[in-house]
Amino acid sequence: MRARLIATALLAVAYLTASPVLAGETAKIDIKLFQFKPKELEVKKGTTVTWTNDDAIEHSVTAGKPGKAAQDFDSGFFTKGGSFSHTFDAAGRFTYFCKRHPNMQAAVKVD
Amino acid sequence: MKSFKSTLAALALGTAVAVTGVIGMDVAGTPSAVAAEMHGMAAANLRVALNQLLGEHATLAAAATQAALRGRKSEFDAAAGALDKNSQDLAGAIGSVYGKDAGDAFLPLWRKHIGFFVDYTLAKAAGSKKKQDKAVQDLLQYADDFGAFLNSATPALPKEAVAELVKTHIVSLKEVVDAQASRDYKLAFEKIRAASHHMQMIADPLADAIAAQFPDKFASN
Repeated sequence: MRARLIATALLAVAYLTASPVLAGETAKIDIKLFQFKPKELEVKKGTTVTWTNDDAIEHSVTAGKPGKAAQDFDSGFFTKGGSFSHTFDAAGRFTYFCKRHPNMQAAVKVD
Repeated sequence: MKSFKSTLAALALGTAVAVTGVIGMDVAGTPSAVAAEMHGMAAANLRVALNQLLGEHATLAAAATQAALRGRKSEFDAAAGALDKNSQDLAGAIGSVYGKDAGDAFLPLWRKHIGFFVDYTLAKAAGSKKKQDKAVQDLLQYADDFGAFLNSATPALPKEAVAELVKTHIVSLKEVVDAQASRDYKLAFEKIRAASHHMQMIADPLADAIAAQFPDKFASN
């Protein structure tokens, strides 16, 4: 009986440690024709946003504004088919841009 | 020359002329009016319109660089203003085909290469080889950007092929500026004609690809 209890407990621990952390909401932003679409995205705190590059050129998703990058996130350059994800854990409006094409600017508003 | 810097920089940033959506505001027959009619026009007319707009781009750019090199400010301002209106017309044409957002994204991209040519012209006037090389490198990188933009808009247009055509455009206009700077006007006008003619190499395949992509908009005739 005792052995069975221990085995069950071990199985439970193994299950819990192997289980994925409960995922928050997700949202997607497309990068196409040198634009972030949507340009303004509103999400809840804890949402993971994924950007996917559909242009055959390097783009970046860099927090802040051209000439004044913030530390929140920076994808580095990634090209067609590549993606980058960031989870927004704090409320606020987060602007971002592409380092190679500074005219590409957008924002994520986190409630 | 130095007095032009602020104006040249303004042109490079696209602030010399406000974006007012001039498509269709000019008298009939000008590129503006032609661009306005692109929506729904036949494929052949699309080709003519793009040739007209891109050919005008080359000749206005040459007029602006010549005025800048000789320090003729009022002439430069006028040429730069006309060149920017041409850029807005092109962006309007792109927007009429691919949507307003695409036109809005195209305009700063297109103005960017004009800015790099401003950099090259300034460097040429100042005799700075280092800055000339930097401007050329920026222009070559721009060619890849432009190829990627058109490839995204019209996948039938390979990025590399478009980039090569744009590189030829860059070299042809660079040769214009070089001839103007050395006051070899015979050569300069030969190069302006060549640069103008070369725009057809971009306009024709672009028009054909657009017509094939949007047969409802551009019926062949």
